[in-house]
Amino acid sequence: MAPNLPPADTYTHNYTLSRDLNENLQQFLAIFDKCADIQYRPFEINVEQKGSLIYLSGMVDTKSIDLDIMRQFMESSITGDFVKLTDDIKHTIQSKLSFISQVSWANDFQEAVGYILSGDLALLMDGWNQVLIMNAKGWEKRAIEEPATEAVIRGPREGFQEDLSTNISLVRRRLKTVQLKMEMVVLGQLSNTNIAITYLEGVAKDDLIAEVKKRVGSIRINAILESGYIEELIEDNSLSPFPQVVITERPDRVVGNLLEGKVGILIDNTPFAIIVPGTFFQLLQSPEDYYQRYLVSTFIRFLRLLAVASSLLLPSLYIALTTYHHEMIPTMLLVSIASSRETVPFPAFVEALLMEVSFEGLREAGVRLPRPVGQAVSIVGALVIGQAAVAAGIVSSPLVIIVSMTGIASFIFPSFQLGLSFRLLRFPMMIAAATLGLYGILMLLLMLLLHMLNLQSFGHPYMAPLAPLRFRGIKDVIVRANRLRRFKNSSRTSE
Amino acid sequence: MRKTLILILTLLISISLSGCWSRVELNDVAIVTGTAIDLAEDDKLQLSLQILKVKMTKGISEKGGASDSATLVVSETGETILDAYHLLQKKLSRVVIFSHNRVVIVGDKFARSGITPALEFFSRHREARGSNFLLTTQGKAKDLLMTPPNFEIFTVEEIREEEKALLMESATVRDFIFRLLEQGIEPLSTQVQVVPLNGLDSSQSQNDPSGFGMVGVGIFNNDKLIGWMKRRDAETLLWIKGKVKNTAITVTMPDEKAPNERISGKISAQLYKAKTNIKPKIQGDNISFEINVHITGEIFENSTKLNFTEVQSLNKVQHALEQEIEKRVTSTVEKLKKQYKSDVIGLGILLHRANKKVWNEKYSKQWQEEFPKVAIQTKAHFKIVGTGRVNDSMFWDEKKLDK
Repeated sequence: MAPNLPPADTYTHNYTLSRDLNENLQQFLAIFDKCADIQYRPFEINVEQKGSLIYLSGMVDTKSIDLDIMRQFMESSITGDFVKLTDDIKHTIQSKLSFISQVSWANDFQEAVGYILSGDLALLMDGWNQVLIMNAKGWEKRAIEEPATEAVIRGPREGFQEDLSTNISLVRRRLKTVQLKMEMVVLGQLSNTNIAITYLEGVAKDDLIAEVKKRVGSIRINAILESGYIEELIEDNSLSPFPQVVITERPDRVVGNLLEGKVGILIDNTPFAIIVPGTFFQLLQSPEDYYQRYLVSTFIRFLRLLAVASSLLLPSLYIALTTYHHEMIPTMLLVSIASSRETVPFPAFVEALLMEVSFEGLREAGVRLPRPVGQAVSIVGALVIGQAAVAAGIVSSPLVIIVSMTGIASFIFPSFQLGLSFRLLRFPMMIAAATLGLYGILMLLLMLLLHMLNLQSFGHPYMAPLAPLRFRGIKDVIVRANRLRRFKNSSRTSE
Repeated sequence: MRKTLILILTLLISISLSGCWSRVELNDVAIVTGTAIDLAEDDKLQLSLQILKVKMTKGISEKGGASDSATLVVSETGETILDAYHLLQKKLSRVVIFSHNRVVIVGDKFARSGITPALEFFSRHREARGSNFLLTTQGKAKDLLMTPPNFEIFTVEEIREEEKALLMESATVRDFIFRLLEQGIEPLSTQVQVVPLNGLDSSQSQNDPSGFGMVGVGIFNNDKLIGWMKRRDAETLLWIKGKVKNTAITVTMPDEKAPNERISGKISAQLYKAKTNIKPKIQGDNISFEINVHITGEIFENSTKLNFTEVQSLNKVQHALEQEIEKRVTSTVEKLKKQYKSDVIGLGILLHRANKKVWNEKYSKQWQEEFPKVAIQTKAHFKIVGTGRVNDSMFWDEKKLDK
C-alpha cells in the first residue's frame, strides 16, 4: 500500500506549524504544488498583522467568505478597531471575527491539509502556530429528486443525493431521537470518502453494530466511488449471484430498516445507501407495501413471488416441455405451439436463447442510449424482434409471448439488483432445461436453493424467516399483515 | 479449488457424453389423437392411428373450416400392436407419440376375440395414458377415425367430449383393466357408431351430416365382447352406479281407478343426481341383493292435468316415477342375468365386501355361474326438487280459468 500514498504526505508528515506566516505559507505552497484549484488570499489587518486564507476553489462558498470573513476583516482594519491577534486572544477571533458557526483549530500541517481538502477554509495568521479552520463548505449539489430506481405511487418522493450531509439530514428528519446514531468513518487512501454508519441504539443488536464497524473499518482501498465498492468488500459471500445487502435510494426505506434493527451505511458522493443485513425477502419488498392498504400489499407480494418464479423459470420450462415432455402440455395448446413452431429452423433452446439474448441486449441498449435515440431502438426492437422474426418464421410466437412475460416479470422486482441476479440465473436454467429437461431444472433449482439456504448476511440467515422458520416473521414476508394485529407497539388508543 | 474443478469437469463430461437422449423437438413429432384396433386376417391386428397434421391446424383456425382434413389416418397390420406400430413408424417421417391419444376404439371382431393384446400394450407403453377412453364399435373401428369432424379440429375429440358428458356408462383403459382383473365384476365399454345427425328418415342421402353417437354399451365377459346393450339399459346402468348426469325419464300416467282424462298423460323429468346403495344378503345358498336407487330430478314436461301445487299430485307423480325406475332397473339387471350372464355392475365385489369368508370359500371361483341365480329387489326413491317455471299444466281446462 505504501507506494499509493500521495507524495504530499511526505511534506505533511511530522511538520509542525511554525509561528512565522511566510514559513508556513511556503510549506503549504510546497504541499499544494501544481494543484491549480488551491487559492491563497493574503490580507493585512492594521498593516502590521498579516494573514492568509487558504482554500480550494469550488469547494467553498465564496459568498460566505466574502461577506462573513473578508468584509469583517476589512471593516475592522479600516475602523482600526482591532487588536493584534496573538495566541492569547484567539478566542476573540472565534467570537468576534467570523460569522461562521463551525470553527476549530488545526495543530499541524497534516490536519490542516485534511480540512482544506475536504472543503474547509483555513485561516493562517502571522504569529500563530495553529490554523483556524472554518466551515465554509459550499459546492454544487443536485437538488433532492425522486429516486429513479425506486419510484412509488404513494410515499415520500425524496431520494438521497450525492451529498452525505444532506443524506444524513434526510434520515435524521425522519427519526428525531438521540437513539439515532451516526458514526463517521473515512475510507480510501486517496478518496478519503466520508462514510456514516447509522443505527438505532437499543434497537440494533450490539454485536451487529460491532461487526459492521469491524468490516467497514478493515476495508483497505484507494478510492470509493460508489456503495458497490463497499458492498463487495463487506459481503459474506461476494461470489454468490445474490445480493446480500439492500441497496436503496430512499431515506424512508433506510429508516424503516433501522427501525427493524438493521444498520445503514451512507456513503458520500453516491445516492445509494447500504442496509445490512439483507435478506432475500427484504429485497422483494418495496417501502410502498407499508403505505398501501394491507390487503392490496399482500396481493402485490404474491404477485412478486409469482414474478420471481416466472422470471427464473418460464423460458426454461418452455424449452423443457417442448423438447422433452410433450405429454405435459394440454393437447390443444400443444397443437397451437407445434403449428407455430413448424417453420422454425432452430431447436427450442437455440430459439429461446436467441430471443433472450436479444431482449437483454435491447434492455442494455435502452439504458445506455441517449434518450432521443432510445425511442428508435424500442421501435426497431419491437418491430424486428416482436413481429418480423415471427413473420419470417425464425422464432415462434409462443416464445415471443414467453420472453415478453419473462421480461415483464423481471421488472416487477422492487430491487433492481435482485432482478439482475435472476436475469443472469435464467441462462444456466435454460441450459439445464435443454440438456436434462425438467429433471435438469429441478436439479439446478435444488442447487440454487441449497446455496440460498447456506447464505448468511452478517450472521443473519439469508432466507429468514422462511428458513429457519419463524411464524411471526412470515406475517411480514409472504403477506403484509395488518398493522393493528401485527405490531404490539402500534395501536389505536381507545378513548 | 482442485475439487471444484474436478466436479465441474465431471459434470461437463457426463452431460456431453450422455447427450440429450430423449430430446425430440416439436417439429419432429406426430401427435396421435386416436387409435383404432381391428382384427385382420390370420389373427393379425390392424392398428390405425389418427395423426394431427400440424400444418393444417393453423390453416383451419384461421380460415374457419377448410376442406382439407387436419388429420391423417394411417394404418398397418402386424402380429402385435407394437409390431404394427413400428411398421407404421417406418412409413412416417416423424416420431409417433401416444401421450396425447384420446380414445382407443376397438372393432367388434377384435373385441369378440378378446382385447387383452391391446390392453397389454396400452398399459405397458410409457406414453399411453390410462385415462384414454376405451370404446367398442360394431363394424370396423378404422372407419370411425376416417369420419370428418363437425365441430372440433379432429374427430376423436368429439368422441371424447361425448364420453366426458357421462351420458352412458363408459370406461377408460384403466377402468377396463381394473374391472377385468378384479373378481366379481366384468368390464364394459361404450358402443360408438357413426350415426346420421338429422334423424333416421327414409330420405337419407350420402351427403347428410353424420356424427358420433353413443348408442349403447358393449358387455364383456372377461376380455371378450359378448353383446350390446341398448341406450335405455345403458342409462339404467348409470343409475345403478349412481353416476347420473343429465338424463331424462318419461312416465305415462294412467289412473287405474278412474280412468278419467284429468290424470292421464305423460310426464318427463330431468335427472340430476343418483345415489345407489346395494345391500347383499346371504341366506343359506340363496344370495339376494337389495338395490336402493335414490334419484333427484326436476319435472320439465307435463301433459297431464295434474296441478303441481298440490302435494297429492306430486306424490302421484313421484310414485309413478319410482315405479318406472324400479321397472327399468329390474329389467336391466334381469337382462344381465339371463341374456349376458355377465356381472358388469359388480355385485360380486359387494358380496365380497359384505362377506369375505363366504365369498372366498364358495363364490370367488364360480361367480360366473352363480350370478344368474341371484335374486334382486329394487326400491327406488325419487325426490322432486322442482317443477320448472310453471305450476299448472298447460292442458288446464279453460273453464277453470274463468273462475
